[in-house]
Amino acid sequence: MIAVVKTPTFDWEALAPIVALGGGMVVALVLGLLPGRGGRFLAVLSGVIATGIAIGAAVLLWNHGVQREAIARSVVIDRASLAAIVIASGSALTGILLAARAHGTEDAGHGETTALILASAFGMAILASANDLVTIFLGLEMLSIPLYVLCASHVDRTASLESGLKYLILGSVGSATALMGLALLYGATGSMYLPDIARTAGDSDLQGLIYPGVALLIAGFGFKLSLAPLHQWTPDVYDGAPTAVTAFMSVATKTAALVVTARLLLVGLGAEDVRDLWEPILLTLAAASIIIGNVGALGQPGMKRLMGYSSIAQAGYLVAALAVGAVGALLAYLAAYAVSTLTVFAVVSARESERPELGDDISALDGLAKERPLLAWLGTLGLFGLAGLPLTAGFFGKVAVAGALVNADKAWLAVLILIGSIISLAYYAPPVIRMWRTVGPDAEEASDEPISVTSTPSGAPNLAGGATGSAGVVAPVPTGLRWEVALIGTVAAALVLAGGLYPDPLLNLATEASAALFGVQ
Amino acid sequence: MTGVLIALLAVPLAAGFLGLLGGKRVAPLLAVLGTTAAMVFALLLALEVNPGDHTAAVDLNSTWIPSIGVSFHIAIDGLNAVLVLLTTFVFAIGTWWSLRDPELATPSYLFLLAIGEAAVLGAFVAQDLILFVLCFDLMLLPFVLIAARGAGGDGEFSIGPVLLLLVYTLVGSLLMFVAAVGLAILTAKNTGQPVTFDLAALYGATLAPSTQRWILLAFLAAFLIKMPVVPFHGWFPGAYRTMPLPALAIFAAILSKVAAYGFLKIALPLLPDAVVDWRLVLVILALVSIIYGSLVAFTTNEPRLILGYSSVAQLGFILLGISSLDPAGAQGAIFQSVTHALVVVPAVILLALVSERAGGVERLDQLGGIAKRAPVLSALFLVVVLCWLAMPGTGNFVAEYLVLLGQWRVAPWAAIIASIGVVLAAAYALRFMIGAMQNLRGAAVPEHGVDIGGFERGLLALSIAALAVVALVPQLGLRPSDAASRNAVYPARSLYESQKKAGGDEAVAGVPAEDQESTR
Repeated sequence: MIAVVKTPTFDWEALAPIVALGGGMVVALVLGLLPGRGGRFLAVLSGVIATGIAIGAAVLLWNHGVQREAIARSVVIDRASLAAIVIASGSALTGILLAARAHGTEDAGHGETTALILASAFGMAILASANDLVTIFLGLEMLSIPLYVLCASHVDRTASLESGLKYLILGSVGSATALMGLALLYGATGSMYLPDIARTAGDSDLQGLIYPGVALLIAGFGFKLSLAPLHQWTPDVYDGAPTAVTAFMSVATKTAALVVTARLLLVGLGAEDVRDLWEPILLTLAAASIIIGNVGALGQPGMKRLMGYSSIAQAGYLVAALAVGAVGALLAYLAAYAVSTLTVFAVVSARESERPELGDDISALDGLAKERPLLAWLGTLGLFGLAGLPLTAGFFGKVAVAGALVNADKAWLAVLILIGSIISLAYYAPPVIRMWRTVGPDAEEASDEPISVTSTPSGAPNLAGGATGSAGVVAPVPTGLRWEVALIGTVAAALVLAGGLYPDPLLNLATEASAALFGVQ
Repeated sequence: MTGVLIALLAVPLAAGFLGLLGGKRVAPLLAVLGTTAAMVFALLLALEVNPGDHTAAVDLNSTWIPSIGVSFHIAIDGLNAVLVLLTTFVFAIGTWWSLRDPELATPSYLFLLAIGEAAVLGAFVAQDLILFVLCFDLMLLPFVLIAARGAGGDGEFSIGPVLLLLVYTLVGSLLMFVAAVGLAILTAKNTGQPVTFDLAALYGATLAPSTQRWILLAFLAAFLIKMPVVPFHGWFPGAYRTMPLPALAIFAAILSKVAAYGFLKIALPLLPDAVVDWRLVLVILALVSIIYGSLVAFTTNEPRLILGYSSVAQLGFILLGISSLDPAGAQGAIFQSVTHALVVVPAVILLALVSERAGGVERLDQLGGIAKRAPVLSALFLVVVLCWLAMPGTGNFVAEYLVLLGQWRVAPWAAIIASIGVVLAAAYALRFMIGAMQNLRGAAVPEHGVDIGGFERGLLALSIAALAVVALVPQLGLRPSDAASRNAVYPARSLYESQKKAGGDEAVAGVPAEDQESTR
């Protein structure tokens, strides 16, 4: 006797981007088993194609203005989730390309690395589109578990293993906290479905369960977003993980977690009473993150640690916009953050393979403008974009966020963002200055005197003592510039620049996505 | 002519970018073409200006970011025409001179200079507050990256000066950005119109004096730091020391002028009440800069810093002219911007030529005796120095005279103190000349020197020709800004005069009583 199970209706058309990511994962895993270079190439290729299809499908769905529930009521595809899918797929694509010929992921096997990145992106897509509590948790776990493995995938580096373990333990605590919050929410409202929860959450009888539930949820997602004071894992994990993985997770995890938090809080728990609870919590966390992230990043010797702290500060700016319900500003800034961060990591990754003895150390960037002008321009654009300097997308992203805060009478937080940005110059600028300087430890004299350039015959040996990061392992052989890294970095940097020159489309798209999020109800 | 206006901004930028793509061979050629073309465009545009008319001669207004009320509105008018022409000239000379040193003039460097040129020109022609602020911030960045070339040595400390340059000046700029946004939003609230950053719309609606004050404070932070004016000059010695000389020539000549221009374009017309309230503060800052800058320029042994501190003093004159709120003073300020820039460029070039002849040494106490070994260099040096110290008959003299005249009309005491600066200028400029060129042969100067070659002579001749033009026909530089500078100071000027009538001596001293604000 076969049990009759009533299957939910699947809207395959709307699910296309998610299916592409999931399917790509399987294909990459299988193709990666083929021996030799062919397997590596095919695995990476299938990853590139899968993310390409996901982005393309998401753009098509966006243009058709799709806004519907895709698997029963548990997954909703709208412009907000599509925006998250595009950003997550874009960073997955970057991660896959950065990992393709990198030293760190060489041993882990390419099918596995690509498949795990796609699996995580698959989880992010589900998380960002989740419309009920169980799907939220499923997406969260689907996102996290591949990342734990990816962080530890550089197996001959202790730092990488440590990073994976640290992320596993702390991430699990975060997931468990969020799960408890979801359970309390279900207990209070008797429904898993966000629009149903929205109807009953404002009920004052339920406060005893809803309030702790909301607090636990914020704590759980605060871990994923690396908000201070739940940020401690971030610098270590970012530092230890292979650069490609750091690039992927610093952007994509934040994107998915922010969109789902926005959906959960603004759609499900947007009732006046509940909002009075979570708004001050989020504002406080944002303020703390801005301060701790920006101060912590000062004087970090490694680019990945620096980016770790910087991502804490950036999470602060993003959550500040979320706290006042400005999803449009949030998404505009998120997009700017995403392209800037990916640009910077592309440069870091490119340098890692050229100067493996220095790794991600900031000194690896010395004299980049002379050696690799392209990378210097990319790195400058990326870092200036993160700092929010003019002519980059980050500038207008920050304008949007600050404007939203002023509109919501939270000018103090806008001022804090300004102060944070000023502090951030002190750590975003030194790598840039290093890139552009021509006189480093290699040369003796300042070469700005036209005629007399005194060359030191014994040029280079001073680098010998500078090896860091590769704990006791024989340094791998330097390779040349990997074209796929330069390519993806150029694309991301072009987007940074485009957003700074002509930000109107970015701002309009973000507003559309924001409207879609609120339209679900 | 709007096409020319766009080409003015786009062509040097495009040339720089193509040079970046094209590589080492074509980049210098394209840079020469781009800067020359910009100069031609600027000349064409300047010819359009009608001296009797303060409205824009060439005007281009197109949407840019409608969602936040920012438009791409640029124009050439009497106020900026001469400065635009000056900018293209200075960038052309600076860029051409950079090409002498192939190590320096990489495609990236030339593209950075092109970005700098486009940004400075953009700031001058901007008729939208956000566009101005963006360009004002942006013009700094290429020079930071160029200065970073010289951020030498090992360890973190050595990048300090460059970092200081970036952070110090950007702090002011960020504050200005916030103030600009606040100004537009508050104006929109007052008028009930949607938010716009178009200056023409903002000129019409002045804010309450109490609001104006904090907004002016933020604008001052940006302008006074960038100029720099004395208590805010901490960033510049380090930046001057690290920047390659050709870039320094441009940086010292042009970037500070954008700040001075900002006073006339933004601060005076938009915030007249606050400017009148704080006029005395500005006058005192200007005087302190003049005296302090001149004194340090007289004592330091580093030629770069002599130039730097003398610029501080000259910028003090410019600020003095602006803060007189007098059309003559304002015109003098614009003209002084031109003449100072025209002096600084050959002065930096001369400094470089001198230090090349002394094995790269830039210490006044080790130079000397070059005049005998390089007579042409020495003669050109003398011409520049005479303009620098504002000998009667030079354009610089006309400018300083106008500034002092404007200030004399409102506060004779300030004009008297400032005239000490004119005397001190002679002292430090001649000391530089004597120390570098005459005297006995310095320790760093070799026995047998060579004079300068044809390329250097040509460049210097061009710069000196420009100096001669402003000396012989100062009207060329002055007349275009006739009506425009009158218009720029008018709101503050009329306010100041009405206060003076109402408040008597108190207002003259610059500390009006609170109740005078209601008299407007």
